[in-house]
Amino acid sequence: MIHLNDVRYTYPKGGAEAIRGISLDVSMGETLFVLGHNGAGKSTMLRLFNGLLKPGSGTVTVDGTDTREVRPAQLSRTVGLVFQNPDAQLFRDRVSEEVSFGAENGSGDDDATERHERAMALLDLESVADSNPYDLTLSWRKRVAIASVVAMGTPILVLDEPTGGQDADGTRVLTDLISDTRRRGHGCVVVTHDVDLAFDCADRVVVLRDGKIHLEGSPMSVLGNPLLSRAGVEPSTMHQISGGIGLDPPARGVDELEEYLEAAGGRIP
Amino acid sequence: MASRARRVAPLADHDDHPDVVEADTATWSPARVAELYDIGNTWLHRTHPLTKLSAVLPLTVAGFVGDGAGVPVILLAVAIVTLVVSRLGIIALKSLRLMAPMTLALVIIHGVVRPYDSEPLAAWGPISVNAEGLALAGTTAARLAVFVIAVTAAMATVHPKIFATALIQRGVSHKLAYAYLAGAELIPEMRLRATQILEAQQSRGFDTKGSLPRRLRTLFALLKPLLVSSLIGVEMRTLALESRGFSLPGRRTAAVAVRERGRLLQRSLLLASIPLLVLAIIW
Repeated sequence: MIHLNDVRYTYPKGGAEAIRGISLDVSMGETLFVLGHNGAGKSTMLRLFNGLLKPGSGTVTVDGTDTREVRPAQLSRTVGLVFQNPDAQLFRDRVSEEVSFGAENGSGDDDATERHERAMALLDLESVADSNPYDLTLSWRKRVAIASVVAMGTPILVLDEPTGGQDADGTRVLTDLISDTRRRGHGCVVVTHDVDLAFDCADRVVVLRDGKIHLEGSPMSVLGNPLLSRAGVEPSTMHQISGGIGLDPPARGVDELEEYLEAAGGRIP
Repeated sequence: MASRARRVAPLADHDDHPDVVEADTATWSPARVAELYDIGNTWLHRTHPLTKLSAVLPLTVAGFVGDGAGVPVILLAVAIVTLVVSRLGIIALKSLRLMAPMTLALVIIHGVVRPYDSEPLAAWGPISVNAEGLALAGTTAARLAVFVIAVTAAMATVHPKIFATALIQRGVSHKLAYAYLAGAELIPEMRLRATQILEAQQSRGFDTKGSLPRRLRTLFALLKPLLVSSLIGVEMRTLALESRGFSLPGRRTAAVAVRERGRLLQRSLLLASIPLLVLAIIW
């Protein structure tokens, strides 16, 4: 669906190259997590996905269309990008209206009302439907911003730091959203510093370092890789615990870890 | 994240700030540098910030000497040539860009809208262009341009933080100096915020091209988040300042120190404004 071929990008005001020769594919039905240190090029890469930025060299195609040839608003029906800062987009007086705005601009298989209702339910916003978004806390405003893009029903959903400032409930809602996207066969790209969320939800993980792909592969292979720290990323908790008790290969989750410990008679070998 | 912040050249070292004697300028965030500021090491950059500020007053007053555009045009020409020779042509360009809409407005107000008794130069129905009005517009624009180029040259060659510190060192209230600093940072911050908002709305299907109603709808979708997020920003900044004791009375210990020099020159420049003012009144 999204195809990056040897993409390079430098911001117009100059400075170092933000993206340095990245080639990457994002497929339908896939959940891709992008990790990396601050300034690694994660958010720049997301802006290349929907044509907000045009590559300096190389090509970015979305569903076969070169992003240089179309406006971002045209690509927004294929790639829904949710920004880190919700205050950059909210402008309606009610949460429900804000989400409707996305639904009206989108183009899914189902109609706008259905998409609106599904987005409200998925992000658990029914209880605040009539509130003014700016009366809500930052984490709730973030949910509203996400819902507004989810309501567009785009085949690819791109989330920039969705877990920042979210409590446990907010993180659960996001996990459910990612699962729903996968279930519907849509693609999802998540930029985050939350390694454990990547471990739990990703099909594939890409780690960026200084504008290049540093590591790429399954969460199991990438999130315990010794080279991870060079990109300013810590191994996942499960990798750290498994490593600490000498469990190789690492446990895939708490259940597997429990099984292992039970089998070992509750003792760490 | 790799923010879409304006890519301003970083403040590399002390060579860029010859007046700073106690600060690691490399730690100053480039994204917060004022829009106007041009990093460099010319003679104008090396001049003390308050000397440059002191020069603005006599230059501006001198622009009012004589009853025509002669003196201000000469001053303007000298200023532009000096800036270009000093490799600061960009500052002259910025000043002229600032002046362009003001000049246009003056020409329309004085040359077209304002009624005159004399014969018009040209007339198209109810609209007429008058030579007297155009001359007045030209003189006013030239006088304003002298002020604009003087202020721009003074402010574009000093980092706002250094300027604010120089003011505090001379006894100006730290609140007033901070007000200047915050104002200087406002334009780039607003521009950055507006870019982020535009991108976020484009990602939700807003098209910035198209019919007038569509563009107006887009404008509203940009203005409200810009206004609200700016208000939130101001509130957060106020709270952050208060939580760090900003409003407490008493002298501050500056983290940055600016080398004290040029007091005599500054006083002389300010005093020079007096005879120029007298000349401007009587001539």
